[in-house]
Amino acid sequence: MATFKIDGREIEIRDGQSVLEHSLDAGIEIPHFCWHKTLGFDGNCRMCMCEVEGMPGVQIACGMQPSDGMEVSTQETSETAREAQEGVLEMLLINHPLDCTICDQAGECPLQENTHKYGPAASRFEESKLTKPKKEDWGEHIIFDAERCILCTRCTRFMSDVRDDDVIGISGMGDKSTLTLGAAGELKDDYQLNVVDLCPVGALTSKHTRFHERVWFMDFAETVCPGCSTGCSVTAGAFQGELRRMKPREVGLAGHGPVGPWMCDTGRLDIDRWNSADRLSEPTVGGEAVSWDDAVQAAADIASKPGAIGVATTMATCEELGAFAACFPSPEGPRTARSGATDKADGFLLTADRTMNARGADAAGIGPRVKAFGEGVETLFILGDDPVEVPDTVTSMVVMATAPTDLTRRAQVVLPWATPFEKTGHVENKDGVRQSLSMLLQPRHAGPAADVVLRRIAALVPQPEPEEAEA
Amino acid sequence: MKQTHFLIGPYEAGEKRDLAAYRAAGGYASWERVRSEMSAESVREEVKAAGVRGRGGAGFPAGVKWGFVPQDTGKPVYLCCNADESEPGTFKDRMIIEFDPHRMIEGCLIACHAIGSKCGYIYVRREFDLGIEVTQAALAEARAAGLVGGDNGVELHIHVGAGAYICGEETSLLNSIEGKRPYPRNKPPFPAVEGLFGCPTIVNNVETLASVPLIIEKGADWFRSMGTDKDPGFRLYSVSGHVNDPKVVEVEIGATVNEVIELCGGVRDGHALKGVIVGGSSVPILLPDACDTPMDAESLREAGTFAGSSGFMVLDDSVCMVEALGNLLAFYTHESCGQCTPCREGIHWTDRVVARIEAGEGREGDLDLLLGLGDRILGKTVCALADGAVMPLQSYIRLYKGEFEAHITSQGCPMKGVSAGTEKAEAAV
Repeated sequence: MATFKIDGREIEIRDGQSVLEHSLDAGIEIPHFCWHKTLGFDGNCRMCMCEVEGMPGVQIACGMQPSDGMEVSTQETSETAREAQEGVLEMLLINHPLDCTICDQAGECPLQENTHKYGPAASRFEESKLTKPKKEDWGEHIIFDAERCILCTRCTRFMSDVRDDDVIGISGMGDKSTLTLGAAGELKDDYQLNVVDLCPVGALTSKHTRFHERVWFMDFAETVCPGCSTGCSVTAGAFQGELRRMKPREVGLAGHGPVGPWMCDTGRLDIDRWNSADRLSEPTVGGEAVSWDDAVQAAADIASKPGAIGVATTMATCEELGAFAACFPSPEGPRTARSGATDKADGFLLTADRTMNARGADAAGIGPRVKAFGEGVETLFILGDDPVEVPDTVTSMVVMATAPTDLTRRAQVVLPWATPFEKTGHVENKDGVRQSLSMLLQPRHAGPAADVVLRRIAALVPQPEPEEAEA
Repeated sequence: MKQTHFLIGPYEAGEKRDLAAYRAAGGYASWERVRSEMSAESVREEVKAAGVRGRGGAGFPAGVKWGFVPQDTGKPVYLCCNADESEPGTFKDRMIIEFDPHRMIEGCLIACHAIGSKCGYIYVRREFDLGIEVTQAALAEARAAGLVGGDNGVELHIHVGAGAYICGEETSLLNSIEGKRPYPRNKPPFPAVEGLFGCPTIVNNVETLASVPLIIEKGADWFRSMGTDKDPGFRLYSVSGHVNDPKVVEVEIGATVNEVIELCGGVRDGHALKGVIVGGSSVPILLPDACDTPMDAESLREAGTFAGSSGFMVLDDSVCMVEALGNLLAFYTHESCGQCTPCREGIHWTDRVVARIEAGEGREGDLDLLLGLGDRILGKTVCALADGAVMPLQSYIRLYKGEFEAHITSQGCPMKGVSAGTEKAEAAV
């Protein structure tokens, strides 16, 4: 077994991985900017310089393959490495505007963090700083601040390597170098906001979050993007009770494409619908507010009617769908159908199924989509906010939804429902990866969670005669 | 010291050789012999035995480099002739290109044969308008004569740069040929293993390649009869600055700095020698008392400098060293490709400080700052461009410290109106 040492710690060598990758996997920090797990090695920032026994000077950890017996010393154990890293930070900062006080990246900025840990306490640069454009409009989503940019090329590499589009380039030479969009003039790609995540400084900011809130005042939860059946693992952030952003998570399993962690702008930006002020706040029967106990009884009465059919959105969690299916027992399986938005797939991450839990619905035994309900359907129980077409024959209806709609106005029993960011539970993506939702926000209504409500309803619905057990 | 005339003959005679003239002087005989009689390995061995060092700057033995090409990758092998001569003070390759282009072409053909390449690129500096024209004409002649392309299968292409100094760095040159932004590549992998289009590639300087036909013709022993054991042969020096007769000269390796100055008519009349840059702007300077140093690799290393691209610049007592350094740093700041942090930011910083000192706004501590910044840049960048700025920076400050300090204490240039640079600038106005 070939091994090498970082700061005296023995580490097993994995072929094809750099010293930096070994080090980070072993929990040993080596500061870096241009290297990124998904974009690989470029070697331009020179931040990760380390000392290697038997080699002159310093070497970049991202560009060095370990060999058996090699001894690497990071900034923690080598004064030479520490001095070299401090030099890089000192130089990165001479023309950096240091406008952290008004920079969106502050608080989650690798340049800021590494400077605090490894940088010089004060600058020796007494010349005037170079000035560059502070607010270059890159189209619908992004503003570029050329002064903050440290030219790590993560954004250029993401667009060219991942999106096969050389739209971001570098123009000028030396200290005049700057990012440019060339003739294109703007970004149009539906994955462009990933470059904002990748940017290790505040050079690329999203127009959707720019100057909105300070990151240290936000609440975060690790959850799942509800935008499609890829179910990208995300960290969702909220400010003052509102969902403000989603960022793809590096450690999640789902939605990472070949190497990942990215997400589409369509999913990332589809957050307003979860912040609607127009929400159902209490259970009602016949338009009158009632207690949850009374609402559960009323819903169970309707669900118990002969021929009652349940229609569940595949936005619901596995727990909710399981309990929902139990409300419509029949010897042939739950008398249910499913609903949910669809749209065009983009061939990369975004799928045609714009709900996050179709596989969970399969597992719960929820029936397929139906084009139209058959003649004589009189009773429906609809879970979700999808615009289900309800035939005129329907006279009894329960709707469990987040917001008032034509359907809730028509229903006899209306039950408020939590959005995907207001509950816990599980969803299963198109590839069968099961992930947890976590509660970023409080639901807008009081009462038990939906899966509990649905289980209580199911308990009140008479079960069919058990079939003869097969031998 | 012995002057030689192997490469420099046509230049000294003022004869721009076409194919007929080159053939009349025995040209292409080596190539005819190589392609009909010699195996690739025997060519490599001959050049390796000759021990010719690269004449482009790094001074790596050419035959050894050729041996690094893996022979079994199944990929094509490429040769690149680096004719992007842009090191300040260097103009000896230009002399070969303009006066004797077929010697360069013959060298390329033999090198291709030696490394198993069927395709070579001659990367010519954009500013060499005449050189480009001459190379194109010579290549057309060689092709028409069946020396290039056709049945023998070694094809040569000319690639013209776009005017960036960095393209002389061998991996930038490769990126430039590939049509990419010419950022230098991180090494390893070295070009011999993964070079042009990801294939094994050898990049050699014009003078290095031009020496190869002679080595094949006259043999390694002949080559080794000149120069020193570790640095055999002869080489060209492009001599400029304050000598009476600036020009390109060719001498056996081991000639001293003073001997080359004498070959060029000595230091400008009425002035005393102040320093000599022997290897192009990127190398440390030598003080007059070190000018009896023989210019072989080892002796120069002991003297604290190296042969580089043999851009030999003579500075007399009219030169303000702060101004000279500022001039160089302005060049490196302008030509830094901007890829890696220490070069992009660091060189720019040193340039600003030195310009301030020259302008009479130097501060106490500036010199320590400059030397310290040099340490934070040297050896920490993707390529050697930044080292090429730091080596003169540190050597000028250390060797002419009093002059730098005088600028700071007197808050101005004590040589104002005396400095050669100022005179020139004033004359230009």
